[in-house]
Amino acid sequence: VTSITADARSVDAAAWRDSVAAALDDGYRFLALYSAVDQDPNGLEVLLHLLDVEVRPLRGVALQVALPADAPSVPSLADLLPTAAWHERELHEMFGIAFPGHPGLEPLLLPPGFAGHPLRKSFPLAGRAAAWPGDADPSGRVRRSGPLGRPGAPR
Amino acid sequence: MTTRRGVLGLDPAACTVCMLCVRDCPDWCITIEGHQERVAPEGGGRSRLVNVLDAFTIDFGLCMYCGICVEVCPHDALRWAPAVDYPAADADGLVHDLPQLAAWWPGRDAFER
Repeated sequence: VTSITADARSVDAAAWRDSVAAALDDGYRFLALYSAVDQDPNGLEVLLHLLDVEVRPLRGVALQVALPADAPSVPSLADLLPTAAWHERELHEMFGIAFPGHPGLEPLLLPPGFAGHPLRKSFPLAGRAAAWPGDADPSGRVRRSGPLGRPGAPR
Repeated sequence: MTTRRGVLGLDPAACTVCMLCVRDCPDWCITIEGHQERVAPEGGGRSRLVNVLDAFTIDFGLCMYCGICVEVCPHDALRWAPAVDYPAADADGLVHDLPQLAAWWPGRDAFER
């Protein structure tokens, strides 16, 4: 295992594709990681780790691009690196990042009809937003709000 | 005592809409809707408020088969039934409604609890 953080460099969104193409030309052909981090309130960060697996020890390069939190968009790498296509579908559904040039950004992991981008820090946690079914009562009265022992439930 | 935790069956005639199973379910997979009606007993006497079951759903996509609802039911209206093959094409298909749960009901004497 090699240390690839030594080569980490931050790239402008406009120079993103050129930087990745240059790294691929340099022999970094293996996609090790292609993900994003929500650095709320400082926007999003897309990370790409590429490895050169032709040499021992392995050598790697890490690229990152900062994106705004509203309407984040970065050109697709799917034509340069075919295996990036699925990663971009996942980033699109999980973070709401647009990838102009991608052949089809349909959801990869989330069920049909899922609304929102669950890996964004602004995404409400369902366990805190869901209504407790036990509030219903045949008498029409609400007897108490939330199960006993639930944090924040009134006594 | 043997218990096969395959699927939950409901006896709608035994359910009194007491909501105990809903309120004790650890992952909130049961929902019940009901209303109250005033019923005059046959042969005279004071009329009584009776709970009427309108809807009963169990989301088997959430259910963790702990059996707390079966244990807590004071009228034995919920019981384990042996079926284990009830796949669905999507998550909504794992939500079983009142007719489906009644169809799973194994009978009052079918099982040891």
